[in-house]
Amino acid sequence: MRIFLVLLIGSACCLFPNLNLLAQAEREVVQMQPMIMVIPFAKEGENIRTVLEDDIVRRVVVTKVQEGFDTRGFTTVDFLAKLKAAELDGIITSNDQSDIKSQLAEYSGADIYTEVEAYYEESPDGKNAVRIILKGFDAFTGQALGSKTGSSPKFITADFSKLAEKALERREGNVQVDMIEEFLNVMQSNFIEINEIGRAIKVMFVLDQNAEYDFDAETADGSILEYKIEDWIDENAYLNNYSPAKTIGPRILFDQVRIPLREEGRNYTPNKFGRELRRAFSNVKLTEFPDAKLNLAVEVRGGTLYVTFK
Amino acid sequence: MISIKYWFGLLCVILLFFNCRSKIVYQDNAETIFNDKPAPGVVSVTSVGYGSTVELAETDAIQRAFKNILFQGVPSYTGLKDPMIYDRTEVEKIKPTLFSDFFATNEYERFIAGQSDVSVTGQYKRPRSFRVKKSLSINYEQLRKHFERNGAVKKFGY
Repeated sequence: MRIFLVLLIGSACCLFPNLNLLAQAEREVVQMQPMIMVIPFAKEGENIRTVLEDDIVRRVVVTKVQEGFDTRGFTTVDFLAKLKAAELDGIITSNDQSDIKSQLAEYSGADIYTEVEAYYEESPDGKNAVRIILKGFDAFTGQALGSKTGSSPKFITADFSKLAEKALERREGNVQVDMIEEFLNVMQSNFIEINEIGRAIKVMFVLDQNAEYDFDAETADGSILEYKIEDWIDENAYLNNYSPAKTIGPRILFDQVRIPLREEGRNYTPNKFGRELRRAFSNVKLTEFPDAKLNLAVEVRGGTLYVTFK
Repeated sequence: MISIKYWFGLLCVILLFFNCRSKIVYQDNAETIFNDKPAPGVVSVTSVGYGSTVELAETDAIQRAFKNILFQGVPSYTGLKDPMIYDRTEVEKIKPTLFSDFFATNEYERFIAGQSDVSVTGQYKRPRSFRVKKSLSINYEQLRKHFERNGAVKKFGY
């Protein structure tokens, strides 16, 4: 009986040797991807809410661009669905088009916009064309991630959606132009650069309205608060890559601070950067208030870090 | 009667002659031009190849078409004007035989969506070689996905 038990346990060990290892095996970290939304450009006087419903050309181009992303295995955020959801949730509170875009950016969680512009070029002789402009940019920093423009050849036709397709894929001399493939390739080369030099975020330092000090306040170690902020950004920006500080009234703005996509093999987010910043300044004391520590509120909205000194 | 030693010596000389002749190496070129886009994700190109026989030159033309798409780009089609593999050397540091195996095992053939007969455009005597043109359609979308799975091409995104 004992021999039988020993044999049974031994076989179990042989059949399942790696159970322990499997349990402990480190899972591969999946890189967090940006959320991309394809949106139509709304000209002055146009309502971004209805521009797709009113304009077949922009609808065709937006769909073609979304298809392009799908072909690369990348799912985009649907603009119309998000807009309708935002309206239902009462998020859209303004009629100003740039406000609607900002409100939608925050609500949708999109990191990157691909904006589609389409212009009709009608001539008196009936030969028409369509010009298309594609632009990709970071929703929060405004950093350009790619742009392409092109016109269709002129045809005697009123089918502008067909002209739009001709603008997206056309022959120019000996060269075949494929706007969407080119646009995606440019975006991808920018993504590769972001992998190498870090992702750009915006960092804004503001003073709470009840704060009893300003950014010129002297710190306990003999420095100035504004300099400490700049020094911290200088030390913690990825590869020391950041744009110089801009002082705008009671605010200090860094338009672009690079943070890595990963740190120690794990995804690194603006939230983590904000936490490190808060931890660093929580031990800073001001000469004027030697017994009090600085109180910071850090809020992350998309790709922008808002740091409020209280 | 000629001795066996003489015949053996002659055989050695003949063997040495054929082995010491330098092999013809045809340099990589960018002689791949865009023809048409017959379907989404498929590109039709004409490529020039060289070889000591027409069959070898045809294979060379087909492989050059793939090499241009992968490593050099096809300037006459803006969707592929940048090479699919951004940095071949970096990839080969991690996977040294990825590309050589791809061509040596003819794995590239499964991405050929169509091809026409080869046409001989040149014949050279010294060394004996042929220059041919070959038109073929390549499913570059699936080619990209294949190398994304192998880690040679970065998937779209970060």
